[in-house]
Amino acid sequence: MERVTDFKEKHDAKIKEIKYSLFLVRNSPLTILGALIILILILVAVFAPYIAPYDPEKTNILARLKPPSKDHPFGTDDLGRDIFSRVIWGSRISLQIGFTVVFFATAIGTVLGLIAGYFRGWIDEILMRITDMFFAIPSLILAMAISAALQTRSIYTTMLAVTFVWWPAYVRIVRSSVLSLVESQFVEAARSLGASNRRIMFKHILPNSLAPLLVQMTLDLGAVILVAAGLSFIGFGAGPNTPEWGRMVAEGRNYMTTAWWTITFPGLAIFITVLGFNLLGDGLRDILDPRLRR
Amino acid sequence: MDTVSTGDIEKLLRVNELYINFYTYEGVVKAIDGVSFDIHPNETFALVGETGCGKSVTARAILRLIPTPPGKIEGGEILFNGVDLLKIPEKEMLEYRGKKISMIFQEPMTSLNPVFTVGDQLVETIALNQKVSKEEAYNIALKMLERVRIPDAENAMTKYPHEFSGGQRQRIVIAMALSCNPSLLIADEPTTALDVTVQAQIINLMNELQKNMGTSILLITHDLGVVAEMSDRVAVMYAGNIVELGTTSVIFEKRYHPYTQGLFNAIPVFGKGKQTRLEEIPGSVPNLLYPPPGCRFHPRCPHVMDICRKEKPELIELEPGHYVRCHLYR
Repeated sequence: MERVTDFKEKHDAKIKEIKYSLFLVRNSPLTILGALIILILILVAVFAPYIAPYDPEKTNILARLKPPSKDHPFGTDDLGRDIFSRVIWGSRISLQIGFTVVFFATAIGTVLGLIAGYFRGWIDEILMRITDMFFAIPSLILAMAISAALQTRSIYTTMLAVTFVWWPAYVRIVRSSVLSLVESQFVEAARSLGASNRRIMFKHILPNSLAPLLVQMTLDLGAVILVAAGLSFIGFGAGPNTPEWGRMVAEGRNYMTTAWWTITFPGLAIFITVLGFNLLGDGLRDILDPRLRR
Repeated sequence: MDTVSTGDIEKLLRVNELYINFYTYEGVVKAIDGVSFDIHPNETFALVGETGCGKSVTARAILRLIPTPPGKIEGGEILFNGVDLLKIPEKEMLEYRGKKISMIFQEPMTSLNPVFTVGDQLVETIALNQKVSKEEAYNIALKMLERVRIPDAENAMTKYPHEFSGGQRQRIVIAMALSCNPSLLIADEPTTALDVTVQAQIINLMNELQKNMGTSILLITHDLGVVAEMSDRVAVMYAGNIVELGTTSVIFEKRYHPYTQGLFNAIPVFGKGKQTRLEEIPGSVPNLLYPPPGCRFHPRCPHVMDICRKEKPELIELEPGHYVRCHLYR
């Protein structure tokens, strides 16, 4: 009991802070909806083997293109695979791609953005011109080109291709907040107290630029999933039997007029996932906005 | 305090013939034009002057915090305990910043990192500079906060900077700067951003800490009141030059240089009678892109002579330990 009060006293400020954040979240139903969608999505992905009634890759030609029914809630596709199971397993792939790509893009972008914004000069110039090059080409087209050049097709090549086109955005975000933070007095104060460049970059500047980074990461989770699905849709994604949402839409589009369920359910899955991340990201932006905070 | 001119007293810091230029788009700004002064152990030395006269640049040069480019230290020496700080590599400089020389800044509102608690920042700085464990650093931090009279120091450690008032924040900044027992504290307008009553508290606190810890203070200010309260010796700066340097009492009494006289005449004096207007120094601070030839003060000087327009005056020792840069006293 004593320990509990001790802990409470010691972390009083932080607890207050968290409580206030929760208060802001409570007042924003859309954020809660977004968070809820993402939470359900993650649970579905984690427990996919227990939820999915069928093996997502098992074909059954006799039961092909069956409309939704009690046995197959989302119907079956042209090879008789259960679409419900495939959508459920597909959540794993989509989340895996989303998180991996955003993680690596953030890691690369943050380090390069810190370096560019902190040191300025020629290194900044070079890094920024490189990111400009990336922005000059539509990212989906570039990702297609990279996928095509990689020869093999799997979700890993998709991740690689999307990461490759995604990191420049993070360099920009981090650099822009570093540029203003470098001028701030607490950075000069830290330097006058003997902090090294690396220390200032990672201990003083980075934590102060986390808010916009976090928002962008959340929004990008949705965007990355959409781009990855797009890549699969045009055939640059995972291999033939993989239950990937984009691929499922692509495979179903020949039967669109006669079997609407083949594209509707995987499409809805993409839609709801992206919506969830966007709602959560927008909500986070509002909550982390210092002007809204007290 | 006894201030014999040079030589016999050991010096903590000696700035010698410092020249600093800023290379801007419009041209070369000669911001510091041959500044020299000494700081003795245990003294408070004030640099006074108008905005833009080079006080802060001089102070930052000591810690090598001048942004380069555009700034560049063109020449001179900054000897700290005999070591020329301008010649050592940047890595060794880290051994001076915060440990032997600390600095506090004008704006207490922004000198602390907003996303960490005061305790985190103090502990981090102390652990970094003194190579002690986190627990020891915590204890030192606590002691420092008590020393600068932050009430309920233990609780204050868990709070964020925005939860403190300006005066309290400046106290915390002072605590952080003094936590590693530096032998020189550079205070860049430490009270400018505070209101008057809080100013007095901070001045008293700094005087007291200086006495107890034996730290020398380089005080940068434009406030002659603060100078009178705190400093042992003063250097008056104008447009990148030191125009007068001496003990505080002598400068307040005699004011040899026309600029110093102008500066003092611009202070309101109580009981002088209703009718008197505050005197101002005519003209404005010269653009240091094109500094006036000869004495940099001559366009505004009431006693201007021909020679002032041609020749830059040297610092002349008028009384022992009292220097003036003016042709009037040749």
